[in-house]
Amino acid sequence: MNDLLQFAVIGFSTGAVYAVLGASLVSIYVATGVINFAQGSVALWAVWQVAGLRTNGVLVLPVGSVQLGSGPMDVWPAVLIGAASGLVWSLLAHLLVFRPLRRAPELGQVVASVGVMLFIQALIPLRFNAKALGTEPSSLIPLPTLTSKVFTLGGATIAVSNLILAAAAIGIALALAGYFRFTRMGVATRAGAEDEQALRLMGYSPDRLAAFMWGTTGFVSGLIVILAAPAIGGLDPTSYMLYVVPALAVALVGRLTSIGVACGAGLALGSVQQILLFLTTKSWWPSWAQAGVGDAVPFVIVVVALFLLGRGIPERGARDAGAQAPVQVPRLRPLWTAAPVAGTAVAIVLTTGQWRFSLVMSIILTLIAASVVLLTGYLGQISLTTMAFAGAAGFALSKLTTNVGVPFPLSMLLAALTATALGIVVGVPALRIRGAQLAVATIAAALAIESFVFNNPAMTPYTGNLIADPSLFGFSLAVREGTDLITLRFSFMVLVIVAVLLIAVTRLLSGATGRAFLAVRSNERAAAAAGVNVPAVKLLGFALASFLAGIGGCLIGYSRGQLSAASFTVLVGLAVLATTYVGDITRISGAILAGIAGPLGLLYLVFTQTIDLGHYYTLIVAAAMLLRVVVFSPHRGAVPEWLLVRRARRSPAQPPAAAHAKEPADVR
Amino acid sequence: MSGDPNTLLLTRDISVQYGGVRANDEVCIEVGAAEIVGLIGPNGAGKTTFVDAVTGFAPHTGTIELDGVRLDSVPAHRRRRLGLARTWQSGELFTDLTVAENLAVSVDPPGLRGLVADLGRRRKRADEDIQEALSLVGLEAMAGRRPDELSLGRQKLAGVARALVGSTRVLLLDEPAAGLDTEESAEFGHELRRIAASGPGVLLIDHDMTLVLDVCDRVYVMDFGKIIASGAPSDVSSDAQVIAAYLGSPVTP
Repeated sequence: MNDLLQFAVIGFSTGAVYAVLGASLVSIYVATGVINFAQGSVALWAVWQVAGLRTNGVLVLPVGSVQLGSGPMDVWPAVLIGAASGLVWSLLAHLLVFRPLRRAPELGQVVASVGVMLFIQALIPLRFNAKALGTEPSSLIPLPTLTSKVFTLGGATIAVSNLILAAAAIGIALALAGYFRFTRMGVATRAGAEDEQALRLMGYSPDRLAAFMWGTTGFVSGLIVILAAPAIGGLDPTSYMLYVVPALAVALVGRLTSIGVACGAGLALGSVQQILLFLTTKSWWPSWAQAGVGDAVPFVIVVVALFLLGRGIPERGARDAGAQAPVQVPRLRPLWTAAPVAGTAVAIVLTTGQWRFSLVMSIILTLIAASVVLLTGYLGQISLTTMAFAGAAGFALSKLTTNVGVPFPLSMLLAALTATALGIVVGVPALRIRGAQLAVATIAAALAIESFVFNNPAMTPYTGNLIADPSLFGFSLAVREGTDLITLRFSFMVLVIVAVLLIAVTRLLSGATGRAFLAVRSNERAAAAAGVNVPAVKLLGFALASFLAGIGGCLIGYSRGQLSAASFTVLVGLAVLATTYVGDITRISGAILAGIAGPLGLLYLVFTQTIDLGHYYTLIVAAAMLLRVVVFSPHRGAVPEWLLVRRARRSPAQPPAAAHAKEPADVR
Repeated sequence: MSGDPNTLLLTRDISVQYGGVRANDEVCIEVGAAEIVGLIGPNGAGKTTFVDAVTGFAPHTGTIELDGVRLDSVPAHRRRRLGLARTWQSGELFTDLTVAENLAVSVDPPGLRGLVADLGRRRKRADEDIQEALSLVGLEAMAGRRPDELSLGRQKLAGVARALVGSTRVLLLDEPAAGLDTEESAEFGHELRRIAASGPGVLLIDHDMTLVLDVCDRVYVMDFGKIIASGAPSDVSSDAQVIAAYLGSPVTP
């Protein structure tokens, strides 16, 4: 019992982070309708900022750096500056990205916030380098800010700092909730999210109110993470960035409307995770479930919350469905299909070593990107689980080939079907939720799969997850032979498999299946009224997409000879979504571009080999993603829209077209 | 049960509860083959709710029969496949698909069989059905156009065609003439007659009294979720209750 109390209180440190990030997510959603995946990344910058200042007084900026004072800065000035950096990033994100996109479809907003998240995450190791800091970044640690006093309560040792963190989180949540409930500005902000035009007519500036909210939440998110950083440990960019996932989970528990519930759920989640961590050390706890339990909890929470609260979660139905990226139904033209395949075959023959390896990676990534085109571009279901499906298939492939000895084509098929089954399970929440909320559920699923399966030592033998080389009728299709990094046979096998599957996908998308997908994407109610079984079509989409991704994951596995979890992380998944969106998420040709630009594909090799930009890869991809969504948007672009608004302001006689309000789909 | 063997759609005691509001209260109607039946009533009377309930888009109590087959626990898309089709007040066409493709969605069911069919040979049979439905509403020339290239009136007609295509037995039209001018409305009434003559029963909901009284064989009047009158158009239009519902009752001192 004492142990439980002790671990529950320890959990307040991460819990406070979830609580404040969650409360911030709710606040931004209430004020602007955006679900901000970059909330953790904003706070991440703040933590590094403080670490830099307190090590030797360097204020690192996105461009350049400034030396403040001669030595390490004092605690509280550094904390304030750090939190202020969160404010600045948040405000910049609002002004440069989210404000221009406030009428964009949800996919655009999700892509944009993922872009901001990746951008900051990639920028940090580049900017906080040894040269700017005057010391190795790996030597930085988050120095303590709060008291280190402890006391005992009923036998449990309790750190005062953890109580302070919980109190700070509650205080911040109360302040945010109070702002929305009791101040005129807060009430006006809520009104502005409902009807911007009406709020303008009443003499308020919705932009300024939203900017205030972005700035405030950036500040408090930065602040709480800075204070909690010494307790939650380390400065690893990825783990801070991914704090947004449990925060999103608690925000959903608060129905994206209740700051108080989000805060309470956040603190509780932190405690539950710590208690679980403690229980996993007990002898009776099953060893296979020791790793990743903490990451699985948010996914379970999301799924349970979504099912219990169901339609109670606010559905912003006032999206202009017509503004989605237009789709051109693909037509299979023999020449246009044969030419790229032949060209790729020639390229495979002409290249060797690393270049051929990257080319084959690009071919595989094309297949995985095609799965994103099918599910997100065509069916409109924003899924961030693609790479997790691929990894799950690769994982199954390893077990099937090494433990059971299933022969080649069957082993790949079975492994991909495993991913398909997983895809259907992950697709179930899509039956009740849509848009950005589905993106939340799927990123939580991806994280849970990553920690519970890929990084679970109980499921990975110490030799690693080896994958037996493929061979067909005694003919070896192995990726390596002697000193050859990648054989011709293997490369051609990949090309044939991917080409056949892409042709099949094109036929599906140009047929009744594609029409049903587009019907569901455009209008679920009308699709049901036209006789389309909407839930079945959604699950079909998830099944097909996860099958394609699964085959891709198997091919990646074969190309390495073993499954490496690093190929299938949430980050890689986001990069695949980014490149597919940049390529054009509604076209198969977009998938090919995504394949070329995707992680470890041809473009990556060009960056590393020729112009030494390898470190900048993620940053460039994130920047391309942001440019694509904000400036060269596939739906009615932000720039033309901005021009329209300006014109409308000059001649107010022409009101801007009112958003076509649509009721949430309500299909039995 | 109805004594009329011609009856296609029969609803009994359809009730819909939205929170504390009883939006439909024990509504019973009948629609026969090749018959145009009107459902009129003031704004907020519960007409659209009734269409939602009958087509599976609103939870309801009571029974719905289509040609003797109980539909009340069947999901919306199955009702459509069984021949009970509807349109929406706003066209609700699929914006990414051409008019012909919009209709094709209703003809080819997706699913595992559809997958195999897509991978194999193309189906040609559907094209004839689509052409026939488009010609019934006079939109043959628009087959290859996208919805946003069509006028509002034509978008609505395309919506009607989408509901007609295939083996539709009963068609529920939710304010198909709203937004049309007098001439377009009269033209639409004419087309409606042609549609009904080709077999399906039609339940027409509209505010345009001229249209309803002109084309309907029978009319139901709904107010506060209840049917308050029914009968031939001429009888209904002179019914005191109906006049009260539309114009308000005379003030009693």
